[in-house]
Amino acid sequence: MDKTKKRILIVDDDKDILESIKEILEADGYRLDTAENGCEAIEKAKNNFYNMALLDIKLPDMEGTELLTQLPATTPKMMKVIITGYPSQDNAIRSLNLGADAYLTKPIWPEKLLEVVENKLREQEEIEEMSQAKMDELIQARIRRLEKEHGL
Amino acid sequence: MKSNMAGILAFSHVGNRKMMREKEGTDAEVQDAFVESGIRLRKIFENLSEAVIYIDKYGKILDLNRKALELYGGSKEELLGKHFTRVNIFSPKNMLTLMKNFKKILSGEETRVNVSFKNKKGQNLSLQCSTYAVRINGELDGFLVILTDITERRKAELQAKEAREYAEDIVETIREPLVVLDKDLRVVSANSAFYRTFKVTPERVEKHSIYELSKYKLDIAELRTRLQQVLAENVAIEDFEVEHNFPKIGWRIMPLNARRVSSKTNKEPLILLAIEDGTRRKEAEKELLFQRKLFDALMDNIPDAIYFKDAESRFIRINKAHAMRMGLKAPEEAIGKMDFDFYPLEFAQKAYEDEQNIVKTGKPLLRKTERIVDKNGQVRWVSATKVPIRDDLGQVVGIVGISRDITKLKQMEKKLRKYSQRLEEMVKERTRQLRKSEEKYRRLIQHIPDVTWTSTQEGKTIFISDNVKQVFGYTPEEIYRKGERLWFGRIHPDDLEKVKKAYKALFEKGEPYEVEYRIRRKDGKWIWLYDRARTTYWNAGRRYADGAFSDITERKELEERLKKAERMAAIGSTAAMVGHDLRNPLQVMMNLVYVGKKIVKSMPSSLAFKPRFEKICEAMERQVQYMDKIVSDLQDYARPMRLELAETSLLTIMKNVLKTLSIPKNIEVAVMVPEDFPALLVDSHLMTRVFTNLVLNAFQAMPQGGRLTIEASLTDKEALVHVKDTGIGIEKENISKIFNPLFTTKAKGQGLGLPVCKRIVEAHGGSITVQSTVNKGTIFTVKIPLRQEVKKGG
Repeated sequence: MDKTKKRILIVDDDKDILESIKEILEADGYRLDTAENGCEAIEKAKNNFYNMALLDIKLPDMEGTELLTQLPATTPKMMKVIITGYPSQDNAIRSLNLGADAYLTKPIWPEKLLEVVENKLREQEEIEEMSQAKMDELIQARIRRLEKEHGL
Repeated sequence: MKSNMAGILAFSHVGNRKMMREKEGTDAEVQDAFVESGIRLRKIFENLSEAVIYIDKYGKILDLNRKALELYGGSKEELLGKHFTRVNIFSPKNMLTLMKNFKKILSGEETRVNVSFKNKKGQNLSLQCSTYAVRINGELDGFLVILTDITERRKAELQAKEAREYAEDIVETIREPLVVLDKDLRVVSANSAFYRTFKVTPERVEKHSIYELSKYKLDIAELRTRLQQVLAENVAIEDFEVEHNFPKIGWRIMPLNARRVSSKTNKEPLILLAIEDGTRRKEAEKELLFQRKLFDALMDNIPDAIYFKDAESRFIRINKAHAMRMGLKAPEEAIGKMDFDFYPLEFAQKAYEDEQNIVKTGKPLLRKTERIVDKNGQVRWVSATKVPIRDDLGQVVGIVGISRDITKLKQMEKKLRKYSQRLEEMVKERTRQLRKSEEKYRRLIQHIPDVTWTSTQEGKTIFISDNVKQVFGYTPEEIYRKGERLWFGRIHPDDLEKVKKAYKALFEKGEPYEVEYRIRRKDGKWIWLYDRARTTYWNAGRRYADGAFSDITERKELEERLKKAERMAAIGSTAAMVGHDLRNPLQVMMNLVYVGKKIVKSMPSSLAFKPRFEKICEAMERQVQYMDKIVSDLQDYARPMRLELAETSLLTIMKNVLKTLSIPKNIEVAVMVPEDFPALLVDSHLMTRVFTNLVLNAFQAMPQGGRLTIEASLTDKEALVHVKDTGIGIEKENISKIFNPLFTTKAKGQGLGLPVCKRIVEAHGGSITVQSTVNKGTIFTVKIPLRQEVKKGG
């Protein structure tokens, strides 16, 4: 996996967190972008493609869970990881139902974070590959059906 | 004979000298005539019936006749020529009489005196002594003493006098008034009873007529006649009653008795009149009659049986009650009969014996209870008293008996006894109840937690209830003996000032003493007391306070627990906030430490301070790790427990635990979990927390290094995981507290680790226990049920 091609958006109102995580992930090779609130995050996501978004659950203008639904759909599908200082089962379930791909509690050791990020991006790649293969297969099957229908 | 002749010669000598002076030179014839006349005179002199003694003028006895000698009782020679005072026949008193007599004689008187003397034969004689002076030619020649023996006459006179005095004594001592009247019915004399009775003096009585005495009230024709008859015909008056109202003594009925008396000396007849005070006798008779009536009334009406018996136990008289009891119509029917005639033999025999014993000994029988079965077969109880009757000589002549029917009394007594028995039983029962309730009360007192006390102002306890032993461990005696130091000495130092101040305020300001404090029991255990006293008082010059305290340790502990729970709740409610607030900075720090480490790593090894930076980063990492743990504990403890159970390998958990921790270099770690150890149904995240905490604790318990052993074993139902260290161990007194939240012995520690472990393990349906020896080490044992239904939530 070419980390340099992976773009990640971090959303957190704490600048120190933004900066430090950005530094860690960049040091690992990822390309990072930051947003300090929900609106900025949505704006950025509209204009740019991100493989992954790391979202704080509490943001000044909206809930992290709300942001999950507001982010534009992308292809391949953006990996959304919730990082929360308020770990609760309710939050976790809600997050997962609203489209989160992972749920992490603060504080998270950078090593762990890196592990999760890498895993999720790899997963994304696999899904993408799989969906590409499926699409191919679907197209192939469609063609075969059409040929059959048309007696080709 | 010779003496006789000398006497006569002596006598004639007188005559001779007289004659010779008259006729000197007379012839023989004249001389013969003188001799003859002398002999004749001598014969007369000798034969005189009176004793005659001739004494010369100096008192010398010259002559005496036969009668005189007879009176003297000795011989003539003993007397002749002797001075009469030397004869030793007169007593000194008589002698004096005689001497005086002679003097009178010398002055020309003739004297006659009575003298008495004891003669030679020892006879007492009374003599009448007549003395005559003999003068010859006008010149005193001597004395002629003529003695007449009056002894017999004196005797008769004495006897008469005695008889009279005796009679007078009788008259005097007679209680009845007596008067002696002469023939003219004048009072000759009266006895003292007369004067006493009529309250008059002898002057007003003697020589007065009997009629005058009574102001002629006694001048009754019949009495006059009768008194004349007494005088004339010697007819006695007997019980002639007269009535008279006397001025000084009031109304009197007087029976008169009179007799004529005549004396030999007094030819006139006298009347002895006895005036009896009949009033008194009449009254006495009346009184007697009244007494008899009383007696009869008593006899007839008293319910007690009364009887008189003679010495042979025959009835003399019985009363109506007795007659009725014996079934007789009239009391007279019993007279002359005996108990044998009325009562069963056995009873009669006994009564007879008793009575005869009284007759014999004179000892009364008092209140003897007797059971009588009468002829009808009815049982009666009587109380019999029998006393002797004595005649004037003190001889027992019979008995009088009183027999009281006490059948009813007996029945009452029986009933009473029954009642009193019942009463006694009731009293006993009541006493038993009281004792029981007292026991109950005492037990209550003993079990009541309050200990009451009395102490002096100085704090010396002079009384404390026994239950202090249960609370404080010391007995009252120990407390009394050891004084105030014992008490104050065991109060918790933090509370001592407070207690002293309150106690002082009680005595000095009268403020109620009410204080809670800790005190160390005899066994060293600390307890809480709630001690109070309201007022003080003086007694015998000292000041005291009465108070009570209770052991409130349990309450205090509850309060403490509640406080802790409240604190926990507060922690819980703030934990989330604090957690969040700390999570961000912590996250930043974690990130920076990571970045820092990376930077240091990338530094060329040539850089001198690279190792130092590495060290700094490691230390920072450790501290951040620790902070992370605190925040996690806080949140874990505050957060409702929700288990996410999954089959988890113990070994995996242990690996995770050790992976996240940096193991100190001086500690050796051994994990001994069998390969085939069954998977456990646990929340792996939480279980990791549990063992992380236990392992961290173990590391901290071994600052000097040591060995950590994690060992797993199985029982039928549980998996046991022992976390064993060789560290400092836990003090015994702390063992029970280590699972309490916020209890910590560490300088850095919130005391949440073990409570969180406990909570998590218990949420899994397991338990966590600890064994520890100071300086040897500690073993925590986590027990987790095998595949069993586990508790959810919490």
